Amino acid sequence: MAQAATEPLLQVNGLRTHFFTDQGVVPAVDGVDLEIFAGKTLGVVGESGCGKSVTGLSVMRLVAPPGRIVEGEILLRGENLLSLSDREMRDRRGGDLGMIFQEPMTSLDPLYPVSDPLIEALQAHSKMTKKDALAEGIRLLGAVGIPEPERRIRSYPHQLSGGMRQRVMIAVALSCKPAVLIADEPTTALDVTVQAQILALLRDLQRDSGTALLLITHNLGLVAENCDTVAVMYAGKVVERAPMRAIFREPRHPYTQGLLRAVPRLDHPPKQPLPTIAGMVPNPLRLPSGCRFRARCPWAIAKCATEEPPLMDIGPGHVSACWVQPDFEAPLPAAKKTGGA
Amino acid sequence: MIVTAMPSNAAPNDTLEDDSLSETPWQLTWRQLRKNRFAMAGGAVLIVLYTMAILANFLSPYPITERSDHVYQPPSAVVFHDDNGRFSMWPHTERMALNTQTQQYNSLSGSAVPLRLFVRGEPYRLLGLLPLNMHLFSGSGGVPFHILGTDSDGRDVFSRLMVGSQISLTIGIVAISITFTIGLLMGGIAGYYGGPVDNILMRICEVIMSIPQFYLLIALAGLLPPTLDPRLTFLLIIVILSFVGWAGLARVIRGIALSTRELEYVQAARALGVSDLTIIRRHVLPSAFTYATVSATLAIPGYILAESGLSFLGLGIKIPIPSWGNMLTAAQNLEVLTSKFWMLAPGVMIFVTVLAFNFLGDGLRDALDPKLRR
Repeated sequence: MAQAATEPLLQVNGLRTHFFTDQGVVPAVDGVDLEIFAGKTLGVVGESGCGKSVTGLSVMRLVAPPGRIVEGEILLRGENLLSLSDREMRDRRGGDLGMIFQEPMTSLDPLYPVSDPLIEALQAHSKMTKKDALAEGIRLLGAVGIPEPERRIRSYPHQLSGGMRQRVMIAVALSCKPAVLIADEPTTALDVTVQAQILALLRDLQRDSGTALLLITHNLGLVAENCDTVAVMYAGKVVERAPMRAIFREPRHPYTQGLLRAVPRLDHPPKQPLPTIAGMVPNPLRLPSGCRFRARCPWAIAKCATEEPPLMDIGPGHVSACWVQPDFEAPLPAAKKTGGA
Repeated sequence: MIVTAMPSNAAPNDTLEDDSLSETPWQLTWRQLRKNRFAMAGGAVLIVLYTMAILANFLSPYPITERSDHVYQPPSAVVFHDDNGRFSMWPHTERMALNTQTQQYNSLSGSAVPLRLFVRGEPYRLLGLLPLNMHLFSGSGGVPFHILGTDSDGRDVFSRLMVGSQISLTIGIVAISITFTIGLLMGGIAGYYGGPVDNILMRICEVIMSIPQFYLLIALAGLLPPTLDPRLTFLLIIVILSFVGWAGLARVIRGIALSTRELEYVQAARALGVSDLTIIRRHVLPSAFTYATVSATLAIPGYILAESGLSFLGLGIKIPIPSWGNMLTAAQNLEVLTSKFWMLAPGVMIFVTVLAFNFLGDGLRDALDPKLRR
């Protein structure tokens, strides 16, 4: 992985993925820019339905109809994935781009033993014999911390626990040494201990192979522990992007601030309700004018309704899309009527 | 109270030990199926029937087209005495002669000859390959032995029944294999790709399903020149039956594929860069496999009946090549039905076969349905 550290391995520019439903067009991803460097981790956070997963799927070009990538470019080592033929793209999947899905319980075909997806993946991208692929599969299972890999490789998915299955999925995703690994909520279905193990494993593997990791999650704790850079998404857009420390120490977008306030803390006064972000995610079919967050934003000003704030540079590698850019420590302005906009 | 700490010898990964105990899906299905007596009986009958079809030439004592002047002879008697009337453990048969006044066949006493086993006779090829001339049984000393009597041309009904089973029993299997190959492929492709591909394939299915099958068959059979090689007729009938039969299956498979393609493991396979056809074959269609197995088992009798029906109407396999259907044609009139009961043998065979397939199919459906597992 002799990638110059200044050159991003994967670059997403102005990505728009829209779903053309019967009710209308849903702009699930509406102009997203991201960049990931070799050996680094980019965290994408946001609440359900903000477009995190669709962004991940778009990079893999796996968005299913009625969804379609309508605009933008996805550059892998400078090559635009969106201009590749389906066949060329299929070769990139698994080879250059790996993906780990949210549901380890159902991501393995119950009909086949664990060896099957491993061999399938290895043979899809290299001219390995079945025997070599099996040996490599055993090695990979060992590498992801599965005890007795020679025997486990013959197990069926139902014989494995959730954590084991996710390890298998990681082994499968890593089998062809992808340059970029997209992990879509890789630990959501797992308990906290296993979660920590899986992420430690991903970190180790990343350190060893220089893989760039796109970690999609709604868990800010995971982000704090694992990411180098964080992109916060809201309603299909990146609203703030910053190095990990900056996001936690000096978030400048009211949405990021709201998310952070909503995280339970040990020093939170007892019997006090946790702060929440008032209101609901806007209906994607009828997005508000101007800033999409303004209806829920305590800082909203008149300009927010008329002009959409662009991502503004506010520090080294730190951008935030807000006209107000409030300070995190500043007291919230007096509560306004909720629901009005 | 003294609490003794139990020494824990069990390694944390002992769960692996149950690998040998847990059943594969096939073992599970077999265990369920074995509990169902009807299904097991059906399966056993089918094994017997198909073995019979394979060994047809060996089992049949006479060539299927060999005529004799013994027309409509009832089944030959099996007696346990020799020509002197002395008791014998070995089965004998007696010559039958036509009483010209009553038009009845009677056994001639004193004509008993022993039956012979493994007789050399008419040469044939077992499975079309192995040249043999051995037949399981036969009369001896020039006394014919028609275990199921003879038909209107004096041909041995049993021999024709055996050889006819080859056509009647294979037509279902062959037709279903073609139907299922097309049905699974079309359904899988339509369901997996969805969208316009799905639309086009399903409209084609509807067109095919809207063709009235029986009239199509009759029309096509009518178009076939009667001089056509019977084997070719046989093939054509199969092709026609399969061509109109796959659409219904394809629609169901498409539905199953449509729901399977949304599953995470299909998505995961796509993310690995596995090709579409491999995904359809290895990950999508297997979920339709239990449905397909059951539906195939239940559909085979339909094809057997269709062949019988066509042949009965004289549109299928042409006499003198026997099939159960065209043999039944001979049992069309009342006189035969009332007094020549042995001519109904092919009907009994069809009945038994269809019943056996249905029992087996029902049993398979229950055995493969996880909701019915006990």
